[in-house]
Amino acid sequence: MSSPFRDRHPTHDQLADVLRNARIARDAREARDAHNGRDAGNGRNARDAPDKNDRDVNDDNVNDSEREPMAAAVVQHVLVCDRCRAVMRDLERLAALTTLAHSAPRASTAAREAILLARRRGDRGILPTEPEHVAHAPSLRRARWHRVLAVAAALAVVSVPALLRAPREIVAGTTAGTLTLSTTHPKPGEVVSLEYRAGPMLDRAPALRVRARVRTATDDSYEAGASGIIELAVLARGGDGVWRATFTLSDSIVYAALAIEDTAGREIDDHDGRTWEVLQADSAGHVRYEAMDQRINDLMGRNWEEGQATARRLVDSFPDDIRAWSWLRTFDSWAGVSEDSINARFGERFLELERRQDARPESDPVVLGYLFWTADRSSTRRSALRERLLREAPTNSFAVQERLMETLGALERSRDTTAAIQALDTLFAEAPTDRRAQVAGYTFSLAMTTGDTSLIRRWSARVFDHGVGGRRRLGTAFVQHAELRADGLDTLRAVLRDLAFAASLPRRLSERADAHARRLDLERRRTLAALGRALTVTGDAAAALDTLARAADGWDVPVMQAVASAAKAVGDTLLEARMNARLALDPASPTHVRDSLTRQLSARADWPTLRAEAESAFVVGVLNDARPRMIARPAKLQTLDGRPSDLRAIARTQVTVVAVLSRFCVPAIEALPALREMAAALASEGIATHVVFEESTASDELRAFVREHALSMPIHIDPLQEGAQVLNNWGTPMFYVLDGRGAIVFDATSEPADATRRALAVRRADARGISPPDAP
Amino acid sequence: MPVDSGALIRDARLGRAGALGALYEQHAARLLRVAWRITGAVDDAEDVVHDVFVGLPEALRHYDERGRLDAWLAQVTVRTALMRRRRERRQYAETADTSNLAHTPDAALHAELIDVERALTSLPDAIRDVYLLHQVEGFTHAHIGTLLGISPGASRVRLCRALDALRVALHASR
Repeated sequence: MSSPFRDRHPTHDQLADVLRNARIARDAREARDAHNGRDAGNGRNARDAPDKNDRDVNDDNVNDSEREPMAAAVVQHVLVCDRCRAVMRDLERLAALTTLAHSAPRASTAAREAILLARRRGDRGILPTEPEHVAHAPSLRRARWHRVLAVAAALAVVSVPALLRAPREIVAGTTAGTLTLSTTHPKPGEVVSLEYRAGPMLDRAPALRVRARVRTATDDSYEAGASGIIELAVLARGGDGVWRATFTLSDSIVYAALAIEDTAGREIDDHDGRTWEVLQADSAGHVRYEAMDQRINDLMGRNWEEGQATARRLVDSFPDDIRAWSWLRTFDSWAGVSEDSINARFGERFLELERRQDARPESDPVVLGYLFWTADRSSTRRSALRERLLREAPTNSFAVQERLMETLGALERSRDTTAAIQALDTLFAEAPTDRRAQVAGYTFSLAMTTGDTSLIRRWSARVFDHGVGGRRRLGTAFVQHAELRADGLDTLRAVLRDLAFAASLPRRLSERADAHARRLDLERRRTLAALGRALTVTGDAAAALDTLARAADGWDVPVMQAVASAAKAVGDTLLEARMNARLALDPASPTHVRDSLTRQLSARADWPTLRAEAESAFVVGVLNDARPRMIARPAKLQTLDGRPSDLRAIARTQVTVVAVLSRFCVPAIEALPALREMAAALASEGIATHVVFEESTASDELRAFVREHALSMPIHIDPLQEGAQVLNNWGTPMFYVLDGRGAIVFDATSEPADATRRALAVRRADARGISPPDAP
Repeated sequence: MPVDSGALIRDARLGRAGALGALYEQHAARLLRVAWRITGAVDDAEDVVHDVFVGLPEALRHYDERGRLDAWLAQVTVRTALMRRRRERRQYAETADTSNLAHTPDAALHAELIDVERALTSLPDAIRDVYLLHQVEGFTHAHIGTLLGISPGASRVRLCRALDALRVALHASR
């Protein structure tokens, strides 16, 4: 077999793996030698077969590269390559220097005594052992659970074909229309009129409406931080086929993202994910700072590049506003720019803003806060700014954070939890809105350690929101506490009751009604899982298992892990094995977990049955999220050597994952190693991977990029953006699964692991002879 | 005398001081080092380890005894340290304690140590975490991905970035 490093050098991380392996092997050898020495003294035969824990040690120490044939090739290459040996020497030196740089702290006897004293005093803590906690219960009853599983297995055969043969109402690339607004920067109270020319899908609807995700000046980042989703207007269709409406945003709304949908929410035009936008202007017609600020908040988690571009525009429009510069600095920091470079780039600007601040008769608390926050973290200037901030603006958001740290520092010295909570109570009352959650979150954790139920109740009301997720976390936290357990169970049951109503979980702007229903179902299952685990704590094993049984539809890894743990806790070994079989088969689970579980399970006589059942559950569960849509028209692409290609033709060959990438997008570049791994894994299952770069020409730079990152799969560019339009793509990296018969099976995912699961589920459904539907 | 680790864990789950103390003796040194890698400050690391052992008897109920206890404890410690850092919105560079930088009579080596330490401190937390966990503590990329909530691929990319930056510092110091 030819070496993959004939024409290129291994990457630094591949070299680093080799070094790490060598070090671990050496450590293990030394530990084994020492162990054998001890064993000889203890009379144990050092050549005895390793016990269970020893095997696990070995499992954990098998690193990524040892599992790949690539590792041997790296070693072979290093043996003959002077350049890579020099790099290896550097890496080894770095590891040695890093280890040497500090003499490791020592675990002291006094610290041990402090821990034991704290335990005796009644101190407790909740550790992040897993995403969710599971506790033990003494007894079990499995019959009803097993019936549910049997029914689920039987349904698998029926539901997969039903799902794939469901009539496809959606055709890729036919939803988008054109929206024209009289102004995208309305002044407060200004009437905005809109005209909408619908695409074929929405034009059939009897009525359309415009919905908006709206933000006030103080809203938080991400979709969840917005004030809410509102219906702005119902559109009327004119005789010329154009849909029209008018609306006025309330004065407090500084930013709104718009989408058009039919009134049942079955079809949504969200401008290919970008949404249309309205940013409030001031009386002179200039876009307000707060509007752009909220645009950045709204783009958070959706489009990092556009967020950064907005920060640049913010700086251009408001060059004297320190908040704008702070945004830009933050984006640089997120991009991995070093602190020194950031300070070099922005330092002078912040000093200038500080001089202006000093020239004012009175200091502006907001400016002072940002000056402190953006100051070079190792500088004495920052210390001076901190003192000034605490003195002149103690209720500023950054000052409150510093006071919080001071209070916690005092607590660490005094261990006087009561005094700390009293101080935090005062701080909470003085804190601005954006800082209250931080104060409340920390104090709630402290309150939980006191066992004082009135304190816990009081702070829980401050820390958890009233949404489904917040109340579920509250219920789960209460269940950990004996005196609050009944309340916790009641809370979880109340969440379940509420989830029967769609209004309990507001539908997102771009979320279709069917996707919303699936999300409601997922939330219901997660709440059932939380309630099931809570019931294991109370010892009601029968109710726990019944509840968990209802949670185990679909393919949700955290839920499966929870059910497996709960089953173990109540002694239901068969149920535990069934859940573990699913986890062992999940293609996105870590390899060592899958190997370990498979090794355990394969010793069981019923392993073939467990595996078959898990395979059915995988296909059914993953395809539960499918939303197939045919590619209705050709979508012209181009290969790197200039030949024409077509997304629809690709979709009609075999099951394929299409990755949409940009070489200018940091997350897309970060995803490349995972993409390569995914492509290699899928190829062995007969699934192709294609990459589409968001570029209009096949430049030499792009070819060099492809070579540098060893992308060996078919590469395309999208010169006319037809591919992006058909896929409804916005943002990178995005992954789509094509079924080989001309359809895009799922909405986009940015996670290669999800794409892997989805492609394998489609392939396995196909292999079982389940025919996809005919093209419309 | 050989220690029955199963019995020790069972006793620790019940909150028995002897068992908890024995686990501390066995694991605290490594956990302290791991926590210190994340927080950058000895005081913070000691607090993390304190919190881990104070909460350990209850947390052990979630330890299924299939894997190594020390690996599980390291995971819990890393998560606790990360939570502490996130909760306090502090960065490594703010807390990094250079007062116990190793002293060596070799001036050139000492200068090299300072340069590498400085380069390490200037790395963004997200990148430095991966470097320290992988190259110094020996975690796999899959493991790091689970701990940091990123893909193994992203862990590899961050490691490359860290190595690039640190190599530059290494060469500059020569």
